[in-house]
Amino acid sequence: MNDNEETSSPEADELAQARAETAEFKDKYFRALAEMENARKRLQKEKQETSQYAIQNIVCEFLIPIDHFENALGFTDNMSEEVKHWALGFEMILTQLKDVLAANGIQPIEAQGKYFDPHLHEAVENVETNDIPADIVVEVFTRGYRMGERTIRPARVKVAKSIKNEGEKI
Amino acid sequence: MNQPKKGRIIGIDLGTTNSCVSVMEGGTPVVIANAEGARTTPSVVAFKGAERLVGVPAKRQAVTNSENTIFSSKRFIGRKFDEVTEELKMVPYKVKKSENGNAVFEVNGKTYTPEEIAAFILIKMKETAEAYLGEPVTEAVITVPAYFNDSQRQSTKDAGRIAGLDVKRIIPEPTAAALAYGLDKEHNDKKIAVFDLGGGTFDISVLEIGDGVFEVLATNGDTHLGGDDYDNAILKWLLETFQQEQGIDLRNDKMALQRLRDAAEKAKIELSGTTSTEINQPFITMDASGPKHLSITLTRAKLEALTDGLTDRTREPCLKAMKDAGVTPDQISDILLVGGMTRMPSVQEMVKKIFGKEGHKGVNPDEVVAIGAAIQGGVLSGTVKDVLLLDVIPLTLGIETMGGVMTPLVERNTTIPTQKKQIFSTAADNQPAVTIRVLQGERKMANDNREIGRFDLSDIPPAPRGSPQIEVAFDIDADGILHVSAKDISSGKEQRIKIDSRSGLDENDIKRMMRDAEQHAEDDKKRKEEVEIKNEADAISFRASKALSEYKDKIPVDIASNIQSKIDALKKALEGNDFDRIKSTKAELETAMQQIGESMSKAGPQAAGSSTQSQEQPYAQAHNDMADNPENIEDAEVEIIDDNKQ
Repeated sequence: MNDNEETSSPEADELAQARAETAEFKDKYFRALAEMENARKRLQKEKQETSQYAIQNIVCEFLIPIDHFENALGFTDNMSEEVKHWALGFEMILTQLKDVLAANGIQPIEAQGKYFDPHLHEAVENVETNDIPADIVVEVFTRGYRMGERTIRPARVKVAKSIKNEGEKI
Repeated sequence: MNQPKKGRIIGIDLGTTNSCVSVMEGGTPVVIANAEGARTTPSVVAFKGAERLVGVPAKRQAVTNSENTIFSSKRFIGRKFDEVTEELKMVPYKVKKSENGNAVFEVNGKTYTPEEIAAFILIKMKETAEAYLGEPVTEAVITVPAYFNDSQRQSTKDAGRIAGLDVKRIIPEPTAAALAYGLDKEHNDKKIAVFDLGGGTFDISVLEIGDGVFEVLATNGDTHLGGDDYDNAILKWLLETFQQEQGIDLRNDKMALQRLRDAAEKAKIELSGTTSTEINQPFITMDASGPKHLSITLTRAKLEALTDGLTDRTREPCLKAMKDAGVTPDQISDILLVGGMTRMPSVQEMVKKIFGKEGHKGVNPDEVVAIGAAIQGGVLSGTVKDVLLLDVIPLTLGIETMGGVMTPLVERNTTIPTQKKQIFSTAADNQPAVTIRVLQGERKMANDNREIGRFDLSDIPPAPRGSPQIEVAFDIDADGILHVSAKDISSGKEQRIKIDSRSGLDENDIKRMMRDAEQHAEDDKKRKEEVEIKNEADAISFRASKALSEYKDKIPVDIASNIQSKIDALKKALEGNDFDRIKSTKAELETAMQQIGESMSKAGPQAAGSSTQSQEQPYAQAHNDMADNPENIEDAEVEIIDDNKQ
């Protein structure tokens, strides 16, 4: 109304200051509310992820004895018939363990003969060869696993590398 | 003064081996996990054809693509080619001299500057933050080692710009650590040391802090000492032990080596929590005689013996840094531990040996630098200042209730301003006044806590014990001033006092009180339980006496006299401190009391059972756990303190 006059009097200054303060506090208040709301939403999301990761961490630890189990059975190929017969039974137990993983959405990662993909595989060793195209996985040391789209453990692999001809070296 | 708010400023710890990003959220720094779910990201960038990989995938393919995988690029940033000749020997990728003499990388015939490589890592950190926050991020605080010169700092800043980040500030890593520990709030000048033993480098810095200003007095370190060296020491020992026992050298078996390397790191981490660990690797290899297993016990003592030489290498740099700063160990008030390796007990022991005191280890040492950077970001964007208004109360506040028990109303660490209300009642018939003793502390018994105020609410109209409703309200405003009021609901009479709940307490007092509470937790619990037993017993004998007098005519004489004798027995028991006796006499009285109900229900249907019921309530609920919900009003009893006893 009469803003110009108001600015000159001390009351008007006080009023203007009070208004500014109110506006500031209101702003802070709304920000605080919004922040709380956002934090709540994020917390919700995090909670979900936490339980997912928790499963993942436990599964990861179980994968190690499963590897060893698998590894152990791999050694029985050249053994006596009796040992092989035992191994067959253990093989069945291993299958059961893997079924439990599969039932919970945990799948082994295909690696042998595939192109090396650092999102799924971890290179432990190279083998220089011209018989196999470069970047092909020639051997799987330990199996990798994925849960949905997420790699919970990469496959540990040996990767083919082309033998460099002299010309390439400078 | 109210500038238009911009987005958040993230804090990035751009490390030699790993990087970490954090942001202030609701007043506290949050470390953000990357797309792979990890809270730190390897500082590795790889080029594979046209594809660029950053972080974990880059690290995974390093073996098969070593000449195109750049790690430790931080060692080259802002430096001339001639300065890095030593570093060159340690990396499998090509480093060459640019036209202006700087060190640059050559990958697939293309040249990348260390700034560009750092930018790729920063972009990954920025994307990590954006995915979490759900909004674009354009501003950051980035940390650098304290010894970085102007050229290295400028290059780091340039890296930020290439990554699309406006770098609001470059801060030294030890300063960030000090911020994360809240040392900027200290008003007195003091000197601190930051001991940073990470994956690949060791840095020691001596800082002077005063009124939020940090000055790095001296730095020293070992550019090639870190967790990997410790892993390798364990690995070497495993290989040697296995060779001795089985006569097989596993050094050329890449797969076995990889398994042992993982096992070594796992054992190292485990031995920070336990004193002995089992390293089991069944079927590690095979020879003509059959499969071979590795099963070795590694004790903490053995680990320390194996890595003694490594830990010892931290000593000289620390002594030199103190000498350069012109300080003696006793002048250093705090030592902050940074880097994952500082979790190792022998490293912490070394710190104690060098500085004569324990290092601080409250904040995750892998994340502390990023957290400090986020706090600096928060300060710059103004969010931290806003949030500082929201303080917490350092110790629990409550009142004394029957039997000298401390009944908490506002738990410690509650964010203020806050308000809590609870209904209490009287402990005796026709009790004219209650004394409200306001207490502060974590102990279960009132007298072990600090009394910060006391007042009486008098002129309570005569009423049976337990029936007056006295509402006690604690209201703490944003300045930490506590307003305590007590109101008799039926008469409307009210008394109140105002107390500065923070006055007279400094940090040490608070710590001491917390410690006391921990030490006495068991004793306190027992004493509180004893009081509760006594209170219950007292309530039952009171109720029994009352029932006897009220229903005198309706209760058969033999039952009445039986009950009276039980009451007397209980009262006698209550004079002493034999709690088994109190419990048993109390149980006997309770059994005898049931006879009242039985005989009266025989006498008439409008039995007095309801009366006993309603009496029971205040007592029963008095022992409920006090809920957080301020609206959850509960009954409990206020102890009356006899004026003439005081």
